[in-house]
This record gives sequence, structure tokens and C-alpha cells, in this order.
Amino acid sequence: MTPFALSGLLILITNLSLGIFVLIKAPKVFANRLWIYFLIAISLWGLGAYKTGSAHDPQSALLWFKIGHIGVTCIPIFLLHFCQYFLENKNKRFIVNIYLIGFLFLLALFTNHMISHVKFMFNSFYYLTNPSIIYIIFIFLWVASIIYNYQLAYKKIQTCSGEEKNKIKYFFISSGIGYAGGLTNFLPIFGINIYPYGNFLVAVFPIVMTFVILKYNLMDINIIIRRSLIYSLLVAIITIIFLICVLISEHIFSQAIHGQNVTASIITASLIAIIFIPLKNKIQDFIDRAFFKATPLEMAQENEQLRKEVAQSERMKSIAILASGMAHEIKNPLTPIKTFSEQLPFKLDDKEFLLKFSKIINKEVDRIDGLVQELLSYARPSIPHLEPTNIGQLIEQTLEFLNNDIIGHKITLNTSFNNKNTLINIDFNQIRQAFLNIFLNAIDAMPHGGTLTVTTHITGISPSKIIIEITDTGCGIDPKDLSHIFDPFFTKKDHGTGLGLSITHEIIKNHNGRILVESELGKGSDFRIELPLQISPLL
Amino acid sequence: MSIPKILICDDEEGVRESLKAVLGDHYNLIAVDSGTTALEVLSHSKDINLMLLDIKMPEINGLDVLQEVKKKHTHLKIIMVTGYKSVETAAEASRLGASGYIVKPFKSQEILETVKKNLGT
Repeated sequence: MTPFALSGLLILITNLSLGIFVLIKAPKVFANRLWIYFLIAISLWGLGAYKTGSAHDPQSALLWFKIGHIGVTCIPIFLLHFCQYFLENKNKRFIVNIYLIGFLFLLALFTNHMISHVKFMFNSFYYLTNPSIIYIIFIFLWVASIIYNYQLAYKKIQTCSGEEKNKIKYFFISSGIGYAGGLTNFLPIFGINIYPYGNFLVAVFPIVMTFVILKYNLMDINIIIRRSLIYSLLVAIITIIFLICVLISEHIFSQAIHGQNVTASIITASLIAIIFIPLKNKIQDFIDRAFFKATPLEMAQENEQLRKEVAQSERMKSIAILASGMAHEIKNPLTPIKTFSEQLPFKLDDKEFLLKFSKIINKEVDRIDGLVQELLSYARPSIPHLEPTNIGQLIEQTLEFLNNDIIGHKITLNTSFNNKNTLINIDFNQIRQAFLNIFLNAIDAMPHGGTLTVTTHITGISPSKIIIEITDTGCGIDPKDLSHIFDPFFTKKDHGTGLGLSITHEIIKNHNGRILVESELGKGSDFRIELPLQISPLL
Repeated sequence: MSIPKILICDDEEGVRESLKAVLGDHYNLIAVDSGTTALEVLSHSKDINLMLLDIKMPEINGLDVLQEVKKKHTHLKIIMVTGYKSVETAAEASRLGASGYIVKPFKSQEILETVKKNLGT
């Protein structure tokens, strides 16, 4: 077997093994599926390289070289898609274009315009030389995709810290090893006659990646699985050592007590039984400290402490946001009240001043009163009074209540309620208020008409949940504002306290549900509310 | 000597009226309720001497308006008016070229003195 064929075989084995590992441990995560496709693409290159490196005639080598290049073509596509997802840089149009370009190259691959012939090289195997223009463009884009990925990663690293930073850093270092190796495969094609030993690095890359995945929990493969994996290996090693010990000690004892095998075995078994468990525990403890930095108990305590700190910091953040919002919302109406009290002694005869300010002050006092009411319902939401409620009916009633606004704004209403008669345990008034806030926002977002779509469906098996999706075709939310829309007092409206969505968020949270939002500026917003079918309130 | 002209930009009617009540007897005033309108006014009126600008406004916030105004009207004095003065926003406003900072609810005397000082009257 040629070294090139061997490197191909190793690539096939290591990448496929890592792919199967990820598939078994966390197959449901979308990013992991992309990662598996990426590993399959590398494996296909491994297979192609193995068969090309082993081929005895140019026709067969050419065919396998092309098959290998199906993988090579797909590598940057899946990696770019994965990285866009991994780095939270979701540009859908870009991803579609990448797939389209990849598809065109795949088509070109099966004509003779991209790869047309191979030549016997290094006195060893057949390989591509004199690349076509299409192949040169292909290589250019291949390299450009790597540079683009690294640029994205560099930008992302600047904005994050801690474990997140490490994850990205090590992911790109390990993939860099694969790329560095993979790129050497192109050298002979361009007349630089260096044997593609670098292909071995493509096989090393998944080994490094496995370490990164285990060490930094890269793909939501959690620590329990990591421990179980290490412990399984540990038990296997100890068992082998145990068997060797049994054999050696039996041999020693049988010699010492002159062939009495039964007695020798009993003594050996007793000794090993005494030693085995403490030894196993000692080694486990050593692994916990060396690999995981702490024992499970210590980690649980540390996690609990971290959870408390995060909760405390969230509370402080919430108070800070509340304080700044309060300052703005209350100090504004206080301004005319203060001015009026200061100016009044000098303007007792100014009728216009008196009339204007009596109106303004009346309005501002109402405003402060309303604000205090809203603030109270935000700060101390009443305990949800749960009762079986037909969620479809509740939504319909809420929409009916807003019918005048919907017609007034020329909004087309689409509703679709699956499992229409499903009863869920919720607080009717609170959930109605939550929906009302979202519907009102949607209506405000469509001043010149549009479509409001409300759908419900049940998903998941034990625990199952009901999903309520509210989609509008309104002005959408600026991406920089999206993470703040549930912050108290955050508003982009002319009239509004910015408490509506905060209250909605609290209500849904207190029903053990969650609320997610996606929005595109100028196209509209999509609010997704998830409520469990069996609810035990937090409050 | 002509009476200085002041542009007031605040989305709150109560605040606009308060500033008018305090400053109206001493200066010529134009009051607008949004940053967009303020920018329009500034593009037409060349004789504005001072601007009182709210920071938290729904459409374009005051800091963005400040930045836009300073691009074309480098020498125009701008005093920020806000309900919540944080070190970060004060520093940002100063970096962008604001001449002063007034926190709501302001005293009539305080606003008069700040305006006088900035106009050099």
C-alpha cells in the first residue's frame, strides 16, 4: 500500500468514527448534523484517496479521484454552513449561494471540464496534473472559504470570552491542522512535486477534534457522556490489568505453595478484591481532577454556586434596566410639574400658560399613575390561577376584542388552530394579557396593513407542549434591538411604556413556558410561545 | 443685537412646553418632537444658535441626532437633556461634541444659566 493510500484509509476510519460518535451521542442538534455531513465529506475524500493511491490503471484512478472530489467539493460547503451556524452568523442567502456553487462544481466534476486525466507520479500512484481553469477556480474558492471562515472566527473571538472563546479557538486550531494537511494535496497538481504526506494530518484532525469536543463540550455532548466514555475506557484498562495480575499472581502463588491452585486462586482473588475497588476509585479521582478539574460532587457544588451568581447578576441587571427606564418615564412627566410650580408665581395673569399647563399636568399625573400600575403588575405578577382553558377559544376571543383595530389597520387575519379543543391549565386573564400585548405590537407594526397569522399546534411526546406562533408582516425589529425587546421600558414606539413585552415574558415564564422571537427588518416578526401541556407554576 | 434662536428637540410635549415657558420670554424658540424633524429644520434654518436635545426618543435617539448634526453644523452648541444621566451616556455625548448636559426635571434657573453660558449672553 502506498503512503498516500494509507493516509486515505486513515482519513476514512478516523473521520467516519468521529461522525458515528457524534451521531450516537447528540444526533438531534442541527449543528451536529451539519458536522456529521462535513465528516462524511472528508471520509469520502479519504475513500477516494485510498482507492486512487491503490489503483493500478489510470482509468480506475481517475474515477476514484473524481469520487474523492465529491467529498472535497462538499467539505467547504458543509463547513461554511456549520461555521455560520456555530458562529451565529446566519446569512440564509449566503448559505443558499454556497450550496448552489457547490452543486455547479459537482455537475462539472462529472464532465471532463474539471478533472480530465491523471498521471503516474512519485513512482507510486496516479494523480491529477495540469489542472483545468474550472479546477483552478474551484481551488481558489476552496481556499477563499477557509480564509472567510477564519475571518468570521477572528471577529467572533473578539466579542466573546471564557469557555465560548476557547471553544471557537480550539475548533479553528484543530480544523487548521486538517486544512494545512489537506492543502498539501493540491501542491503536486500545480507542479510542486512534494509528496502529499500532509494528507495524514487530515486523519489527525478528527482525533484532535474529539479531544476538543470532549474537553470543551463543543457539540452539546455533555459531561456525563464524557465521563462515561472515560470511565468505560478506565474499566476496560483496569480489567486487562486485573487479568494480567490474576495470571501473574496465580503463577507466583502456585510456585510458592507448590501447585495448590485452588488456595492460590482464593488468596489472589481476595487480594485483588481488596485492592480493585480502592484502586479504581483512586484512578477515577485522579481522572476527575486531571481531566475534569474536579470530582462530580465538587462540580455540582461549583455549578450551583455559578447558577446563584448568574441569577444574582441577572437580578442586578434587571434592576439597573428598571431604574434607568423608571428615571426616564417618571422624570419626563415630573419636568412640566416642576416647571409649572416654579413659573406659576410669575405667570398668575398668563391665562394661556395656566390653561396649557393645567391640561399637561393632568395628563402627566395620569401617566405616572398608569405607569405605577403597570410597574406593579410587572414587579409583582399575581400568582397564576390555573384552570383548564381552551387555548384556541382564548386566542379567538382576544382577537375579537381587537377586531376594530385589525379592520382599522386593514390587516388580513389568518388563524389555524390544530387540536382546537385542547384544554391546558393556564391563568386565563394572564395569558390573555400576554397575547393582547403581542397582538397590539403586531398591529402597531403594520400601520399600512399586512397579514397577521396565528397558529397553534402540539409538539413533543411526554412532556408535550403547545406552540402558539404569531407572525406579522410589519416593519420588523432591528437586529440590534432584538435582544432588548423583553427588557422593561425598552420601546421604539412614540407612545408606550415598554413594559408590555416584559410583562408578557414574565407571564409566560411563570407558566413554565418560553417565548422566542425572530424578526427581519422590513419583513415582519414571528413570536413563538411554548406552553407545557402539564403546568406547575413557578410562583 | 438680534435675539438668539434655540431649537428644542424632545418627543415629550410636557418637556417642550416647560422649556418654552422658561426660555420663551428671552429667546426665539423652535420646538420639534423628533430627531428627523430637527435635522430638517437645521437643513433649512441657518440662524439657529443653540439646540436643546433629548437623548431618549423613539425614532432616532438623541446621540445619533447629535452625531448627524455635528457632521454639518460643527460649531452649533448642543445641550443634551435627559431623564437619566449615566456616566457612559455623558461620556458618549461629550465625545460626540455636546456642550452640556441637563437632567430632568430641571430647575428653571438652571436651564436659563446653562443656556446663557453656552450662548455667551
